[in-house]
Parts: sequence; structure tokens; C-alpha cells
Amino acid sequence: MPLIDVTGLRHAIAGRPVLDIPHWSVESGRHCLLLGPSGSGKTTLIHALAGLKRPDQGRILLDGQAVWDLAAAGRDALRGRLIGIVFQTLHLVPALDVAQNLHLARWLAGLPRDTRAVAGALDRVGLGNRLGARPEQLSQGEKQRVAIARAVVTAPKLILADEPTSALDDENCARVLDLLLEQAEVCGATLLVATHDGRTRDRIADRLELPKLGAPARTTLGEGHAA
Amino acid sequence: MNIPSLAWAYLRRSALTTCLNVALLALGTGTIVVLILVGTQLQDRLAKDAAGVDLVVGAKGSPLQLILSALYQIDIPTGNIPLAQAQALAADPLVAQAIPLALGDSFRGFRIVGTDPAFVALRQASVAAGRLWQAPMEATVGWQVAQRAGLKVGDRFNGNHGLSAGGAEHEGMPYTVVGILAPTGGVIDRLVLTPIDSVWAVHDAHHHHHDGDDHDEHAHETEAAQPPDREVTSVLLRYRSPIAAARLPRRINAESGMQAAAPAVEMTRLLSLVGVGTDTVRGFGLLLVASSALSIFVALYNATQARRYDLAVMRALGATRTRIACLLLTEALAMGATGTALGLALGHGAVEMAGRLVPQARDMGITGLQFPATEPYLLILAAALSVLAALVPAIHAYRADVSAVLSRG
Ligand SMILES: Nc1ncnc2c1ncn2[C@@H]1O[C@H](COP(=O)(O)OP(=O)(O)O)[C@@H](O)[C@H]1O
Ligand SMILES: [Mg+2]
Repeated sequence: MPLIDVTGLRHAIAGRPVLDIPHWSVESGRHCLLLGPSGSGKTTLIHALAGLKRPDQGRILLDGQAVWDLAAAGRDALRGRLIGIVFQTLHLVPALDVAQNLHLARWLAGLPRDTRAVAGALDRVGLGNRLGARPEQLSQGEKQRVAIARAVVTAPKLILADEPTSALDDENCARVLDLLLEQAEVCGATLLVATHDGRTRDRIADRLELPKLGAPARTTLGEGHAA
Repeated sequence: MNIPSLAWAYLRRSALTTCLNVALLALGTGTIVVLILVGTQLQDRLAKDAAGVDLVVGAKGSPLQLILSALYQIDIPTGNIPLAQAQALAADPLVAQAIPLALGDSFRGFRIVGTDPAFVALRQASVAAGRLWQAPMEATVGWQVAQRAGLKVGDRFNGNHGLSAGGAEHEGMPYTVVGILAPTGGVIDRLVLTPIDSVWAVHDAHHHHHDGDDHDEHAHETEAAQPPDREVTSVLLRYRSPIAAARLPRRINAESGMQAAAPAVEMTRLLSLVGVGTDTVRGFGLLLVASSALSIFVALYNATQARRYDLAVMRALGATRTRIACLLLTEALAMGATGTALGLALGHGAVEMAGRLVPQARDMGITGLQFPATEPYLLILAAALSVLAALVPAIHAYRADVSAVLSRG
């Protein structure tokens, strides 16, 4: 059973078609790039997958569950349990320290409080010594790593990363991508990276390409895929 | 992590605003608490000192002045009335009890009241030491008189002319303390009680002294025993039946040279006058509470605007809309509860301090350790107001389009 299974997805914003995905699926454990120029609907698709934005038409199955058949609270629960999200702007909760940001994610995902899991996740991104730091005390790179740790601390099956590298220089771009892949491996999650950043192309073989102006999306599968 | 700790993190982050809201609410509730406490205790006090008295009869003048002077001993009397007329009242079939009061002198600012021992029973006072007065020039003093003047049973003291301290001392006619009353918290604690005859005797001696007359003791005694034109200051009446309320005051006011005033009527009138003042302060207190609710509303509304992205991120991390709304309600409730609790403590503390430090308040037995039945409503009111203040921001956050907020990020 694929982790993501999308059929006949169509969405228009202000009368303008944005998404047209006849069929697209991602097997569990594989990673996928969501490629497309700015404004091609990447964020819209991610929000549709996460149950945050209802598409006009089509069906989205996550781990076999039809996301948009669920009631609002059910979607929230599914999102908390199944998905870890890394935002382009990272957005850590400034009122909370680094560790608390991770505790928050676990709590919202309905998981029990687990100080070791939080410390472990921060340790793996090299921030084992910054647990009590406030987000404003961190460098941009450190914030990025906290955001990634926060996305994986709930042991999600799907990690959604929206433009994680677009604002970074080459070196940091590679580093963040490495970290994302590494963390996805650690928790056995599928990583979906939405980007218009060409530098990521060679790192993830499977891809869904969103052309501009809502033309039908194209799927490309990389090596090792059971056809 | 849970809602309270998350709410706490946010409240702490905007500590200044939080403190301002809490302080505003505390001041508002504190003001109301003080008013409630002092108001109820004052009213209790007034009611207690008027208990058992249906009608006060005295010289013509202001009815309120008559009540204040006769019952509460705080104004000067309207004048005197003939003893014969007072005695006629006591014999009236509509009257169950008539207690005469004769005022005129004082001791260190405490009024010397000539009256019957029935007055002590009327005030529900009891003797703490010694006994009640019997013979002329014997005095039983109230608890505070004994405390402040350091009087013991057996002590002697001279009265001063007039009702306030500073009048000429009546030398040669000392009173003897035969008893001390237990404290009641009422007016009687501040009175020197003696037979009416003492007042007359001192009065006569005073006059004779000034007139330069040289009456011998025997003549004086005779005059005191058979008074031709004896006067008392007022008479406290208790009705025999409710019919008396309809007839007696009207009859006295119309047909005699005296004035009758009902404490219930006059005190209602007084309280309605004073009430305007307390209503104003109470209104001010409510205004403070309302403005703090408004301030909490503005703070939370701004917070939800500033935290739009935070809240959206929490939703993206799996928070339900209900949880987000609960978070905001919790923050408001925490501010509301803290502010109200502080206000209650502040109000009770202030009244207790006043009861201990301000002599007038101490005399009246004002205490901050009384908890009126209306207080829980104050808590509920404050809680309701803070929830109300959080409602609009909570609904806003509840309805927020997470996707739109995140994309605009
Ligand atoms: N809230 C919105 N209001 C109007 N247009 C929107 C809104 N969100 C997205 N769009 C439009 O929808 C299209 C897809 O946007 P988006 O999914 O953010 O693209 P991408 O993430 O690939 O840059 C864009 O043309 C964008 O202008
Ligand atoms: Mg985007």
C-alpha cells in the first residue's frame, strides 16, 4: 500500500487552475521531490496532503486513509500522528525554548511526554547542548536544525518539507538536504521535498513535476523503484 | 507540555501586558470588595444599634438628627422634652417599652447618658466587671471607655459639660465606676451609663454654681426627688402592636410639642443619600473591572494577530481548533483568576488594615476577615468577563484559515 495515493486531484485558485494531478503515489520509505517553479502549486499540494487545504476535486489517501473524508478533528489527529512538517520560514514558537518546541510537537501529536526522545532528536541534529536556548538566541542554521528535529520527534511516517533549501547557499543547501534524508532514514519516514531549487535534483530520484499554469503534473520514478 | 504550561509561556513572554491586566483587575475587584465589606459591616452596625427601637421621641427638629443623636450618639440632640410627657408615653397602651435618655455631659469625649438599666438589655450588652448602676452618681461604663480611660471598678471621675471633649469640668460631683460592660462592637461600648438622676443632679449643681446660689444639701435632695420641670433628651420606644406604627408617630408629631422619628425610615433615607456616594465608588470599581476585561480582550486580540503564525504552526503540528481556542481561554482565565484573587486579597487586606489602624474603623469593629456571600459572584463575574474577553479572539483563532496564514507566512 502506498503511503501517498493521489487520484484525480484538481484545484483552482480564484478561477485559475493550479493543480491537476491525474494520479500520483509514493511508496512507503521512498523519498520524492516535488518540483515546480514558483507559483506552480507546490505549497497548495502540501497543504492538501496535510489536510489543511481542501482541494476542489480528487481523492488523497494517506496511509490508506482518505484525508478529506475525515472530520476536521480527525484530520488534525491524522496530521499530528502521521506527518512532520518543515516550513520554509521554519517558524519555531518563540515563547518556548528549543526543547519545549519539540515537546509541543509531541504533545500536539498526542504522544506522551518523552524527555529522552526530545533530547535524542536534538542530539541527532547536533544541538544536544542547546535544549534550553530560546529561538531568538539561535543562528539561522541552528533554527533550521531545530525545525527538522521538531518535524521528526513525533516519529512521523511522512516528512513534508516546503522549500527547505531555497534561501540557503550551496554548502548549507547540501547540509540541510543531508540532514533531512538522514533523519527520514532514522525514523523510517518518507520525505517529500517541495522545491524550485535545481540543486536538490540529483539527491532524490523520484519526482513529481508541477508545470506552470495548472497543466497536468508529470511523475518520474528513479532507480530501484518496483515498476 | 499541556495547555496551562503553554498558556504560562505566552503570558510570561508578554509579562508587562499580563501584569497590567492582572493589576487592573485586582484594583477593580479590590475596590468592590472594600465597598462590600465596609458597606455590609456599616449597615450591620447601624441595624444593630437600632435593634429593638421602633420609634425615637425627642424635641422638634430634624428627624435624622434626632435618630443620629439618640441611637448612634453622633449628632447633637435636637433639644429636651418634659419628663412628664415622656412618662405619659411610657404609660400609653400602644407602647410596650419606653427607655428615657438624658444627655448633656461627657467624660473625655465619651457621652454620659442618664438612662434605665433596661437600656443595657436593649443593646444586648452584659456586665463584664462589677454591676449595673443603681444609685445616683454611680456609673457603669462601656468597654472602650474603660479601656481608653483606664477605668476600673471603684474609680471616680468628673464629667465635663457638653457632649464633646473640652467642656468645663464639673468639679465636686464625681461619678463612681460600679461596673464595666463587655464589648459589643456597638455604640454602647463608648457610653458612660448612669441614672437619670445623676444627670439632673450634675445639671442642677452646675446651674446653681453658676447662679451663685447657696442651696443646702437638703433642699437640693428635695428638688431632685420632686422635680417640677424635669426634662429628658429623648425616649426610645418599642411598639406593643403594629397598629402603633400607624398611629403613634402621627399623633405625637401632630398633637404634642415633641417629635417622633422612626429609625427604619430615617436610616433608609440616610443610606439612600450616602448610597449615592458608595454607588459612585462601586461604579468606579465596576468600571475598573470592565476596563480590565477590555484590556484583556485587546491584549488577547493583539496576541492572536501577532501569534497568527504561531497558532497556524500549532495547527500544522496537529493541534485541533478546540485546543487553540482553549489555549486562549486559559490565558484569559488565568489572568482573570489571578487578578480577582489578588483583588480579593487586596480588598480584605486593606479593610483589615483599616480595622486595625484607623481608630474610627476600629471602634466600629470593622474587619477584613469577613467573607460576604456576594464574593463568589464577584469571582464568577470576573471569570465570565475574562472568558468573554477571550471569546472573540478564540473564535477568530478557531476559524482561521491555517493554509492561508502559512502560505502568506
Ligand atoms: N491565498 C491565496 N490567494 C490567492 N492566490 C493564491 C493564494 N495562495 C496561493 N495562490 C496562488 O496559487 C498559486 C499556487 O501557489 P503555491 O501553491 O503557493 O505555489 P508554490 O508553492 O509552488 O510557489 C500561485 O499562483 C499563487 O499566486
Ligand atoms: Mg510555496
